[in-house]
Amino acid sequence: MRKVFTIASLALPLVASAAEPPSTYAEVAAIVALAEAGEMTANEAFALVSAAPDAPLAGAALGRLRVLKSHRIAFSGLRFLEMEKGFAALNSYLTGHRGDPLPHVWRGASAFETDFALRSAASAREDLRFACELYGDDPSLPDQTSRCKLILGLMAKNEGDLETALRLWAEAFAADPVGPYGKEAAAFLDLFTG
Amino acid sequence: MCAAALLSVTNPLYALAAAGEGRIVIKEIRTYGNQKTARGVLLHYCEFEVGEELTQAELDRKIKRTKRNLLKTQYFERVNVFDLPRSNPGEAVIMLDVAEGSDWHLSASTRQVRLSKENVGGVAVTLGVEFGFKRQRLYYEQPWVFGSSFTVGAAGFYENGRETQIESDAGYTGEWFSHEAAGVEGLLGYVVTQRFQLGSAFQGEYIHYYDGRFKEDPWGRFGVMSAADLFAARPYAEWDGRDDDVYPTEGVYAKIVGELSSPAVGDYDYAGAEGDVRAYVSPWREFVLATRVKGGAMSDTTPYIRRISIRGSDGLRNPESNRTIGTRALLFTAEFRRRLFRSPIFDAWFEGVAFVDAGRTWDPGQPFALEAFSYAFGPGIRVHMRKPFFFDWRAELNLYDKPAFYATAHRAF
Repeated sequence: MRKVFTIASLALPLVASAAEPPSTYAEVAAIVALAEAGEMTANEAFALVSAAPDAPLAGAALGRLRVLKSHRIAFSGLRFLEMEKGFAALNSYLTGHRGDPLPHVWRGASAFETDFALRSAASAREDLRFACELYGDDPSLPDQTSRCKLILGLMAKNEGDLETALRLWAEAFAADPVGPYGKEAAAFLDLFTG
Repeated sequence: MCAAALLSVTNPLYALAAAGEGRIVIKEIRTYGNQKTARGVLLHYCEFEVGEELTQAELDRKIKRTKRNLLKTQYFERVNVFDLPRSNPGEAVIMLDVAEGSDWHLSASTRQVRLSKENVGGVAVTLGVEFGFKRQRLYYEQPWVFGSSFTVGAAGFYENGRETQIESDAGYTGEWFSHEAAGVEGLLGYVVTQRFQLGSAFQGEYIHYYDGRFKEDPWGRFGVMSAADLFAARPYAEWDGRDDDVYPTEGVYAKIVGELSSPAVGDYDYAGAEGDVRAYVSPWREFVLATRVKGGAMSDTTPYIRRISIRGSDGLRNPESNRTIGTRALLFTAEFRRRLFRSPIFDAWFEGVAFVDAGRTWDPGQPFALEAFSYAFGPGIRVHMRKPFFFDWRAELNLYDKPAFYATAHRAF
């Protein structure tokens, strides 16, 4: 798994420049990361991954990208259909790959972004905690742990539990102080402390 | 107070001294999540200000009220007001954390449709239009005329935040009526209504209400009230101790409204008062028991159009009752509500209801006797949509006596 993410970080610029259909787990993860960061549109990313449906992780990636695509759809009914397909693809992938933490993070993040319309806050929390546990075994992969803690903190804050939110953001920052999610957590810690 | 505020902000030693006395100084108010809404709008609804000195209990109470004020605007779908962890125990930093909701609000009933854009430009201005469909059953005052009127009008309204409100509307009414004796049908007159409201919610609202009605009778069949001016002042005070304005689960709400009209400024001379007390409890999670007692008394000279009405979906849900408009009224309502499920397609949730109503009105001069009430009970369903429209819809079925169906598009009490 460590290798996968090392490759993923190297593959980011590679995928962006070449825009070739991905063939490895790392390349698929990298494309989704680009779409999540807004450096590639969800539609472009979806087209790339669709071109390689048999690539590892492609099923879950297509689900995550559908959810990202749905954010841009103005009409509620169509947005719901796209979201629903996205969650169905993620659920289907996770049925056969329960031990893979990244799709759990995607599903948890998707639930949070869609305001828990198709997956409850409790289920999203379960996904993110499960992913944290899996990533916890591998300290070389801090960014997804940090991301999970950041989202869990935001969920706690939205529910009015500031104490838990601050603790989770502190953990997110500690997990990856130099990564983007760690920095975002630090910004929240700063903003929500007197 | 001002000097103390200035001192507390500029001199940390003053804040420490205040803390020593168990008092806290508001050092800073932060805002988060307001992408469109101006920071000034959020601060407008705050019950405290930077530099204010208060006890922890006062601060907690004001935080709770600020949260309710912000939710009450209906600009936000989520509001948190946090007293942030302090680096100095005597200095509080407050965070107003909001998530903005839909700008478009829609409500409708058998009487009116209102579409408004809220918080235009993020500066708490509301603009909208209102179309009305009014029915007046004139036989109450003039038993030999049956009629219904149809009004199409438009309203412009402007709400400057919480403190003042100016509202104006105008409409054209055609009345189709039949004369019982002559059996003739015809078209009659028009109605122009102007309303003006100005109030301050902070110390109880004072509403100045003007309702002018001008009627023409081209055939002269009515013979009475061909033209009339009505001018009335409606001062009111309210107490709102509910936990939530939109979906209350705990607390008490009370409102008393007076209405005074003098012949010095209009054609009517009457006075009256109405009261409305509501209580909410949540005996089990997701269940709410909502109760309301509404009543009032007005002088016998009150014109028909201003008498107390308990008709319709917000009153006694039994159309068979003929005691729903009068100069005295009493209405008891109880509803058992439960959230059922949330729609994944729209940002909306569904609610199931079981209701019981009991009430009646009394005619002018009739003795006030607590007997011969009318009743209604039955199930209902409600939809509370927040996106893409802020829209509440409800339908209720009365099963008492003859079944009757009520549907309307605005929130219940």
